[in-house]
Amino acid sequence: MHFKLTIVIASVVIVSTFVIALTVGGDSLTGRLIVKLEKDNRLMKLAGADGRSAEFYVSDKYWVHSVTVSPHGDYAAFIEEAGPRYTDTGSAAHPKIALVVLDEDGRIVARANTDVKMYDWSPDGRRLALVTFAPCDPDYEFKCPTGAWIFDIEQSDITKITDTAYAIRWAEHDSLVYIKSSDGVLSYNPVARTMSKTAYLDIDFSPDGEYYLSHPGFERDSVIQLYETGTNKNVAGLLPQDTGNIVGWAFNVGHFLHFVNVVEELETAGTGPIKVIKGRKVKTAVNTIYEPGGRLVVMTFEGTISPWCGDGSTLIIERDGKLVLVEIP
Amino acid sequence: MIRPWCNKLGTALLVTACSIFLNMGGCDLFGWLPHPSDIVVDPPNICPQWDVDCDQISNAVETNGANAYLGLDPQVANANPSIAHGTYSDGWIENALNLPNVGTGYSHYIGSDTVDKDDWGTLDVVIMIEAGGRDWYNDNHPPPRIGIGDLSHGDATSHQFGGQFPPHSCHENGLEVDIRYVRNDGAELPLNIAGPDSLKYDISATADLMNYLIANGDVVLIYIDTAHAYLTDSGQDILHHWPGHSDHFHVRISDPDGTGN
Repeated sequence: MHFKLTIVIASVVIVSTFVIALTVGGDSLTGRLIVKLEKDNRLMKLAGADGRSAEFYVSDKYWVHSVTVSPHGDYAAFIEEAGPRYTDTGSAAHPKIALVVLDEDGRIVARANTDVKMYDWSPDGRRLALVTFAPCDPDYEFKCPTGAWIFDIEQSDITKITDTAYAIRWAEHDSLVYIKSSDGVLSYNPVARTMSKTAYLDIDFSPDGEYYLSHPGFERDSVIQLYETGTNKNVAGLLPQDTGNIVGWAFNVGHFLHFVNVVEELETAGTGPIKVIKGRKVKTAVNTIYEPGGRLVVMTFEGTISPWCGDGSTLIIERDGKLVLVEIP
Repeated sequence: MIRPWCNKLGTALLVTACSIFLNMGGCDLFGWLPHPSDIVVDPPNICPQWDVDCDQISNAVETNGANAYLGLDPQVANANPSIAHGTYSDGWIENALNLPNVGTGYSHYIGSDTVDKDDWGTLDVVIMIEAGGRDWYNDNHPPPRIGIGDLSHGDATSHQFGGQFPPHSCHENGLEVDIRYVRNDGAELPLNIAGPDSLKYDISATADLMNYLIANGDVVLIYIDTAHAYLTDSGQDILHHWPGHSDHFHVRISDPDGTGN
């Protein structure tokens, strides 16, 4: 098996008021949608292999977050909230929330006006699975789940598939929708429109379905576990030590885990054990790509995880102010 | 942990003795001095105003209607009735104490639960909140008051305390509490530090608040959103990142009688 770490220095361009030096791997940018969210709710698009970037979409709403690109790079999606959830005068305001889908040119092609909390793309990039929440009480945060849904972009059609869901994942290996619910992990077959209960403990499957990660429950004091999907057996013993934190599955193929070990230098203020961080500087950030089946460290490289996001076929890393695309051939 | 009233004992005795000394003409250091047997000293009241029977269970907790089932008397020293059983994620509380909804420096927001269903804990967690609130108030922190969220679930009628408390995975044995990050606009409202509302996040005051809690309880960890909280524990392994903690932080104290029960 061969892997390629592509680092090619390209030109420097000015974007807004700051400078980005972009390094890309030859043709690796061709036909790919890579976007980044700025703090003022502007979405930027990486416009070419020479490093140009351009304004892609500007939201006039209060908050844009959870930006992703569809598996084949045809669409970008994000959650848009129309206003603050709470006002300064003490009365709660229920914001209007929407899941918005843009095409490659930044035009809105679909919009689901619902209290979406999280979503995931179908493997074909044409539909979205999402879960919705609503405030249980007008003065409190969004705590109560109100359903899981399938949103068809091209038909602009949204269909409820279950009432209570906390998290959702549209698996690439079997195209089933996996749902974390109060009744355990459910699987939904969008073709047969049937729901089944599974024995799985979590829904974070590797792209090839060989393994899944089990993230500890909310507030539980435990660590991420690795399970073999076929046997549903805990194989956390396969995980390496001293490689830092698990970021997730590295690419949209296979079962490569991405770890990052970051050492920071902090400038702090205050007295007492808890101090305020006034400044932080990354001293080292070592990434490890690991294949658990063979207990194989596939590659290591330096760099921090970039806010630019693509279709999942590459990792986008920043190093010395430059972008680095890390690919599997 | 040093309770503030402990320091007052010495001061109270000194003031009482000096007062008697002065009343008996003791200003003239070379004049008449009373024989020790002539001095009658009433026992000084060393108990703080908020805990007049010095049993570490505050008057407010002892007179809180939800705690009536325990028969606590604010004039009589009561033993700590609460015991944490099991673990944070699989446990229960024996004789839980209900946190008064409002106290010096803090306010309990009810959230999605009905009154007196989500604010039950062991004495140690109640002491940490109340003492933290007093420190917050006494150090002249401006509004808002500390926003106290969920402790453990409980029902004063059935006397069932702790256990599963959805959507929490923990909060089961009365040793944990959710608290809002501090806002800089004085509003007693939720704050999500991961979004645009982060402009209203008072980082320094939140650090102070956590330090008050650590000073008043045996805090073993605090779950925060490390990407947005801008706080560090200077390597003391107290602060831990956990998804879902951008609108509150979660404080856990040690089990005072160990985990064996």
